[in-house]
Amino acid sequence: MTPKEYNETVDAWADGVYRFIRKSLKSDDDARDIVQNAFEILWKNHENVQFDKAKSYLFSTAYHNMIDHIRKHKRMDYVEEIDEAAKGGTAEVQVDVKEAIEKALQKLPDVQKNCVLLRDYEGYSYEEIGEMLHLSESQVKVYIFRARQSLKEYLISIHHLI
Amino acid sequence: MKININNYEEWMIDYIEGNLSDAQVKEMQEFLTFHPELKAELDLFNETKLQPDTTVVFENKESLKKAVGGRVVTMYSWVKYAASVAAVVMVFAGVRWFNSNNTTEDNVAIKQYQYQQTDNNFAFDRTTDSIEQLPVDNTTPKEEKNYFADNKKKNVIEAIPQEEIKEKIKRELNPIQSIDFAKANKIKTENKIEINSNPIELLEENTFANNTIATPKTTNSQLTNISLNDNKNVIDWWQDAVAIGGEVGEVIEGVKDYDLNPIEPFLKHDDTQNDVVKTKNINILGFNYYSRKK
Repeated sequence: MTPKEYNETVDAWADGVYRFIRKSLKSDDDARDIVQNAFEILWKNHENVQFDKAKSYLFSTAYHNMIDHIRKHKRMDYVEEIDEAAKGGTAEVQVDVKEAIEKALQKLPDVQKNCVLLRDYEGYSYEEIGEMLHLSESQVKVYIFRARQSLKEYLISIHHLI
Repeated sequence: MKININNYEEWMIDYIEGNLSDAQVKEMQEFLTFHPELKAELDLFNETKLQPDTTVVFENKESLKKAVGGRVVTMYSWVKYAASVAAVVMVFAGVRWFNSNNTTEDNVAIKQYQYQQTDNNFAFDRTTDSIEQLPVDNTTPKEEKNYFADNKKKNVIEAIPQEEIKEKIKRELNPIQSIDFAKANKIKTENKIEINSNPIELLEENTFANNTIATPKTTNSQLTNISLNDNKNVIDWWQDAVAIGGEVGEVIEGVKDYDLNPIEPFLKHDDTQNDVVKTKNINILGFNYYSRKK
């Protein structure tokens, strides 16, 4: 990948990778740091990374940086039962479905959330997601299936409250 | 597996994921016509499809970009080039050093022989020093060996007129005389010299028979207690360094130490110097050097 292609990658994917990372981190600054670090790693290896692989390289690097960051700050927050969380903490009614989905998304286990984010935000195939997250294709499919079930259940619970 | 009331969720997720074939989509739609209460559930699954918030952007993307234009030389490239050059230099220097210096264990010294004839005798001169200025081995006081204990040999020596010796030396040796392999080998093979550690015997049988054996014996008092092997000093190391640029000749085996060392008769010998030495000739800018190891 040439320097010019690297800069094209910045234009094309900086926002996307930032959104992806921002979904898992509460701090804007932390998300920016991780994205910057991922681009620095990409630049350092740009001669060895093909242009058509730059996007997945970038997302994968950012993802693993984020995982390291979360482990470092002990923010792993696996919530297995979204419906229980919803029942326990629904003092205010979520009318906006989009906001409800966003809230439900934050309650998903990180691996499910990242799979569905890469799938919906970036349109990656199961295979590509598996390569980036170091999962098998069938694992990715199962995680996405479970994530959508959980999200749907959460939406049903919201509708019931309404 | 066909869609049914137990697996319809999986079908619906595959539907919104785009994993169903056209035939399967048609099959699911037919299934929903029989179960209209499940259409609302399909709508909820559709809502689980996340839409990115395009208002969230990475500000100041320019800070991530790199300069384009010109040749980008990374630090890795510099390191690679520098390492390559350093490796070549080190290997070259190492090989030459090994060839010229061998190992300390071999006690190899590269010495330049420059013999200058003075009025009275030969003086060993590696730089500009006379033989008297060369370092003397005082570390292990040795009992001076009397080479003239044998009256017969002493008589032979005395039978050679001193003036004849001088004339012979003048005729046969240049002011700066070097010893090389060919000459040394000639001594050994053609004249069939029985190499002996006793320089007096060598002198007795072959004195001046060959111009490369410079054994101008004078008097007992001129036997100086000097050991070149034991006194490797700064000059030696300097000469080692100079010799790195020289040509290394072939190795001679079975040649006595003093065979190639005309100064040897001046030196005091001990029995350990009977050891056979291996010698390499090195010619640098017209000067012959040799390295030797016992």
